Amino acid sequence: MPRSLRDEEFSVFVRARRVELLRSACLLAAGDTHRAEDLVQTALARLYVAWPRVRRSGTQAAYAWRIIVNAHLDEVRQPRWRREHYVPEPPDRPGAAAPGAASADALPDGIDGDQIRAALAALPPRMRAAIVLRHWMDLSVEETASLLRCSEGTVKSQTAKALARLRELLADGAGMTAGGAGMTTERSHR
Amino acid sequence: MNDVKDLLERALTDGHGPDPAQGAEPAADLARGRGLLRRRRLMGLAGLAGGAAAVAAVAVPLSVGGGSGHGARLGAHQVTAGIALVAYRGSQPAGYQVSEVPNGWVIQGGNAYALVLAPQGDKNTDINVFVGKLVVMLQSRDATGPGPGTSQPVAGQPGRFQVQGDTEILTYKDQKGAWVVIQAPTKLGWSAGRLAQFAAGVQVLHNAQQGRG
Repeated sequence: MPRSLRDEEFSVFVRARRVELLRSACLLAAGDTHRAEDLVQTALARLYVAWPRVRRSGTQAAYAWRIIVNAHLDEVRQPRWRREHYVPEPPDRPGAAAPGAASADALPDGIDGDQIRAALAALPPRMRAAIVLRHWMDLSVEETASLLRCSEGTVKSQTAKALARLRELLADGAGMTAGGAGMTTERSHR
Repeated sequence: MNDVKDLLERALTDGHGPDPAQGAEPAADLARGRGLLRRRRLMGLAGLAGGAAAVAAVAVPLSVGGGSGHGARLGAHQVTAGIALVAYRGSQPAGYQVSEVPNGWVIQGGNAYALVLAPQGDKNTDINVFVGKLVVMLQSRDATGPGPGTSQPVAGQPGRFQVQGDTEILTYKDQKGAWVVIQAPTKLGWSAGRLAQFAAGVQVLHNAQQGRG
């Protein structure tokens, strides 16, 4: 295809989707914006190369996402990622809320961004990916399984475990009960 | 209502994620994409990435009957039938093994990602440069299925054969169910069947790994 047409279409895609891709990548990277930017840059460069093929099937976003997820899972398997601690020290947690202070639906104000990022960082990479794909991007179990290259049953179990672990990590500061007040469970999703 | 999405939204605060209303300028991504495409083409990978036109521009066709090297030694019969396959008994790098090689060709090198064969004495000894070489690799993890082309089974397993510029590409499923890609220069003079014959002697070892892109 002519380079000018590829450039034009690719530019339209970047303008429309880059921020959304970066926000999701930030969650995959547990708030590490530099790493998220690396993931997105890598994905978009590869998407540009594959553009003539991918545009025919209209799966540009899915293609970019597959690269981001693969790169995320690959990078965290590298020794340098295992050695690196890109999460700051866990912040001090506020004391438990008084009984009845938090409604069943409300997420207590005590949980801030740092706590959530620290909790996300504490999740194994595949669990974090499962929760981002299912609960942030609203992908179906089938779509998530395809991206993570695993079975649908594995997606369900990884998502459920991830939610349970998040609950556990945030429970002290959030006043959330083991019943998961305010956190949607797998059963209520597609 | 507070749910997991709200929780995740909160993780993007304090400068840990871009503002959703923020715009994106494509110039830098365009430049990176063009750079990667140029490098892929120079390395002869464009055929696998879907843009093989540049391969034709950089690959040097074999000049049969003239020049130097292996091509100059070919007889008329070999030109029409292609370079013959001969049994290989030399050392094999990690990742892949072959039972036959084109006559006059050697295993130039390899790793978990690719096995590279080239004419004996080939000046380009960089195993990361595939132009004009015979390459065996597992299909990229970013690819799905065997892609376009005509049906060409390998040892009873499904496969697809296509020619892109000066490069023949055979993508087939091996006995263990993995998709394998063999890229061969048309200067070998091989038909799809001959390429499949070579493929039938390829063994993908447990330490072989899929590439990207």
